[in-house]
This record gives sequence, C-alpha cells and structure tokens, in this order.
Amino acid sequence: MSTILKVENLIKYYKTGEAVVKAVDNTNLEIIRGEFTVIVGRSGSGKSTLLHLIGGLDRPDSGRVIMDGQDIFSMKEDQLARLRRNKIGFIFQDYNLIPSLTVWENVVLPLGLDKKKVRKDKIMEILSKIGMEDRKDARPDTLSGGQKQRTAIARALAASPAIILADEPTGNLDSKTELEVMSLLKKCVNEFGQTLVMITHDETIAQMADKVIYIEDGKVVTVS
Amino acid sequence: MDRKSNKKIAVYIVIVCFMIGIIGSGITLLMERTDAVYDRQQTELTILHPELEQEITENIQYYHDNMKRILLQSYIAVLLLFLSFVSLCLLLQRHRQKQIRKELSMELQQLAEQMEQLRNKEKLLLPLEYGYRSSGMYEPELNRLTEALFELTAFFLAQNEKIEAEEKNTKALITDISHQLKTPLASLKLSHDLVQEDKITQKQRCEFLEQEEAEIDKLEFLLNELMKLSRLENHMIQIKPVKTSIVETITEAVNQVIMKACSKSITIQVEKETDYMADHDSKWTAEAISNLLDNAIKYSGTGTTIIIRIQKLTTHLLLEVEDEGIGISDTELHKIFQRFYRGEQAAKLVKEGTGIGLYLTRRILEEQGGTITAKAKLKSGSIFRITLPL
Repeated sequence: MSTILKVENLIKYYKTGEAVVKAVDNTNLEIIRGEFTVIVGRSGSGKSTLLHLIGGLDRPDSGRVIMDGQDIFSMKEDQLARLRRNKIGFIFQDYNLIPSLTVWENVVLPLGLDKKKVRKDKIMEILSKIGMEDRKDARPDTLSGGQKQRTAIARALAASPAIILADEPTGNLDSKTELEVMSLLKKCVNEFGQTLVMITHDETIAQMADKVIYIEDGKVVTVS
Repeated sequence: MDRKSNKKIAVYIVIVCFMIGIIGSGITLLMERTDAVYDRQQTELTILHPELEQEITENIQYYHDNMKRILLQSYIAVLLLFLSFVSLCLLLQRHRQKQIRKELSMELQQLAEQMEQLRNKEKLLLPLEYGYRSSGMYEPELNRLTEALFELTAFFLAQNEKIEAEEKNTKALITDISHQLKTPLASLKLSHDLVQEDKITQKQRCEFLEQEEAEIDKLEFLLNELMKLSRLENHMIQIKPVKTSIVETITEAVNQVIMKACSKSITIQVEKETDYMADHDSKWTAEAISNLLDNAIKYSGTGTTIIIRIQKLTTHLLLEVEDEGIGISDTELHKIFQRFYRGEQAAKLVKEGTGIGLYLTRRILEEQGGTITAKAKLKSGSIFRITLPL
C-alpha cells in the first residue's frame, strides 16, 4: 500500500478583522493509493480549505503537501498548474460548468488547455458510463442537478487523473440523486484505479468510504 | 539513409536535370538567335561593301566564335553554381538527419532506462517535467510510446499494491477468524469438561449436553459464514454480473427468509411498478438481500412490516429495504459494515450473530459495482439502500 498524497504540518490562517481563523491548523494526513477517503466535518471546520490546499488551488502559510514524492508548493506556478491538470481531477458542489459550452465541450475543455489530443472513443466511453451520451450536445442550463454533476464527473475523469478531489459533490442534490452520483463516482474510480478524496458533512456518504477522517476546527480529530 | 531521404535525393536529381535542361535549351536558343543576327549582318555588310568581303567574313567569324565561347562559359558557370547549391542543400539535410537520429537515440535510451526502473519497481524518475514533449520528426510516435510506458507503470504499480493489500487482508482475516472461533470453542470445552465430572446429576449432565449441542450448532453456523467470507475475500467465489430480472432475485431472497418471517408474523411487502433488468449476479445478490432481510426480521418485533422498494435511477437501480425494528444509532452508522462489528443494542438483543452478515453484503454488492448505505428512521427502524448498475 503506497501513499499517493501526504500532508505534513499544514497551516493556513485567515485574518478577519481582529480575529484569526485557523482554517487549517497543523494538519497531518496520508491518502493511500486506490482508496476512497472521506473527510467529514461541520461547515466552517476548514475542510474545504484543506481540500483546496491539497489540490494546489491555494498556498498554505506553512507545511507541505507531497504528491507522488513531489512537494507541490516547491514548484513554479506553471508547473503546479500543469500538475493540477494532469494528475488531479476536481469536482465541486456547484458543478462549475461553463454555461455557453455543451456537455461535450465542457468535458474536453481541460484537455484543450493542455493541447492534448482528444480521444473521442475514450470520452464517449466515459459519457456512456455516466449515462450522458445522448445529452452530449445539451447546454448546462437545460440539465438537472444530477446531470450537471455527472457532466462534472466526466470532465474530472477525462484527463484520467491519478487522484480526484471532490468538494461536497452531492451537497445540492436530493438523496436519491446523491446515491446515484455516489454509486457512479465509486464505480468509475474503481474501474480506472483512481484515488478519491471527498469532503462531506453527510454520514451516509461516509458509510461508502474505505477511510473516514474527521476534522474539527482545522484539526484531524479521528481517523477510522 | 532511410526511404524518406532517398526519395528526397531523387526529387533533387529530377530538379537538377530539369534545370539543366531549361538552361541548356535557353542557351541553344540564344546561340541560334545570335547566329541568325550575325548571318544577317554579314549579308548586309557584304552587299554594302562587296570589296571588303574577305575582311568582313573574318571579323564576323571572330565575333561569332568569341560569343560562342562566352555563352559556353556562362553556361558552365551557372551549372556549377546550381550544382553546388544543390549539394549544399543535401549536406544540410544530412546534418539535420544526423541530429534527429542522435536525439531519437537519446530518447530511446531514456525510455529504456525508464523500463529498467520499472523492472526494479522504482517509480519513474526521469521525466518529472509534466507535459513532457520530445522534439524531432518522430514526436507523435515517441509521445505515444512515452504515454504507453506511463500507463504501463501505473498499471504495474497498481497491481503490485493490490497484491500487497490482498496479502495484508488475508493475514488480518486469519487473525479475525481465529479470534471469532476461540470464544465458542472455549465454552464448548468448558461444558465438555463439566459433563465428564462424576459429581453432577443426570439432569445437570443433560443440560450440559444440550448446551454443548447448541455450541456446536453455533460453531457450524459460524464456520459456514466464515467459509463464505474467506472465499469471497480471496476471490475464490466469482461474482459474475449479468443482465437479469431484479424481481426474480428479490423473490429468491424473500423465499430464503419467509419461514422466519412467518414465525414472527412479520409481513414482507414488495413495492414495484415494473420489473427491471440490472447487471448483477443473481445468486449472490439474493444472498446479500436475504442477509438484510434476516437482520430486519431478527431486530424487529412481531407483527411488523418490512418493505422492499424498487426504483429506477438513470444509470443505477435503487433498492430500499425498510423495517420497523430497533434501528441503528448515529454513532454506529458507518461502523456496521465493518468486518465482525456488532451493534451494541443488537448484541444485547440477539445473542447469536457474528458481525459477518452486513460486511458480506457490502462486499457482494461492491464487487459488482453497487453500493449499500444505511439510515436510521425518525421514529423507529432503519432503511438500507442498495444501488446496482443497470
């Protein structure tokens, strides 16, 4: 069992007026390759900040995030951006789809940024797996919440990243759609041998995980 | 020299021949023209000055020869210039090719080194640069090769990890199983020792023997469960999902527990609109569902109802098993699917129970791309939700 991602003494404080918010307070954790890890915490516990730091979307005050043996914050900005596009897939609560593009265009967009050749058969395979192949020319505003999130999943899978970071992906969905999206995500990640890290405050999702990390006030409380 | 450059050389030769032809014919044409001009001048001058005919002929002849020589010289000069230009081009081409070959061999060497690293189970160290690009004319092919190597490495590493994880899992399983077997074995041994005592009465002896029998039954049941578990864990049981009717599978599962339900007068209701075909292994999925039903019956009072609902989502099928039993506390919700975990309340209520059932159910479902989650109901009872891929 090898570690794909290691977080060492990570610290990120925010100043709001006089008070200092300790969003991430000396956090240490390890993510095992191929495992489904869930980070559970109440809103305001700093879990989103932690995920943003893990994904290199934000820089910490101190501490290291080591992905595949590389300290990601020692990289130059453009190197980090390339690592993000090649190794990490992001899924957000509010989908972050571009409204003027179709489902297909949204899915292949990150590949275009890297000037990678789009392998049409592979994208079609992903789209059919998530049940969106007949809606590939639809625009996001005509889709339901579940369909939007499934599109976002396809977009995260398209570049075949090693690790997928999901920030409350089912936060805006009803419980049945939530189950469906979770089943899909789990199935795809298993099939492609990827690592999934998800943030949630939902205990139901935690039941599906291989590992649950509880976070409170920016600190890891328990791991089970 | 490969075929590509041979072709290029042939093209050069054709161009050279063509140019020589054009320049040659141009110069011949020019010569013919000047010949005609000189002839006409000679004739005109001879007519004007017939007495100087001899001189004129000589002069014209001199100019004529001179002209011819100059033309020939310039022809050769142009030809030489052209030839040298072409050979320069060829030389440059050669040089470039050599460079490309050098680069190519370097890249191939790099690939070879990477493969060696792969064999030594190291991580790929060389191209840490993301979006690694090679230069030269073989760029697409080389990139494909590099990409394939990376995929191969990832696959290889994943396989390696899987094997290690399985080994670790097997070890943990053996420890867990021996731990589980110890308790009933110890109590069996105790009652066996007691039976052999001389001082006890016949009635007591009968009691102990009965207890022994109960322990043996328990051991047998436990062993059966453990067998299933270990065979599933070690992939000795092949779960093969095929498109089959979900209602048939549910009926099969209900049939397995219907006697137990009747004895506690619990009704099992199946709510469905239509039948669906889902990707699942009928035999093992029935086992998983009957495990759930078995639990629901065990932890529910007499006269209650168990409801099974079937619903279609876009890519998955959703099955809900709802009971009116003791429910599950929030703190235990994510533990109940762990191996050998028994709920506190559940353990108090029902003595026999191994903590295998729900774990087995989860394994069976996840093996075929499904999931299972549990939720406590507001009043009493719990809902188990299963998804299966369509």
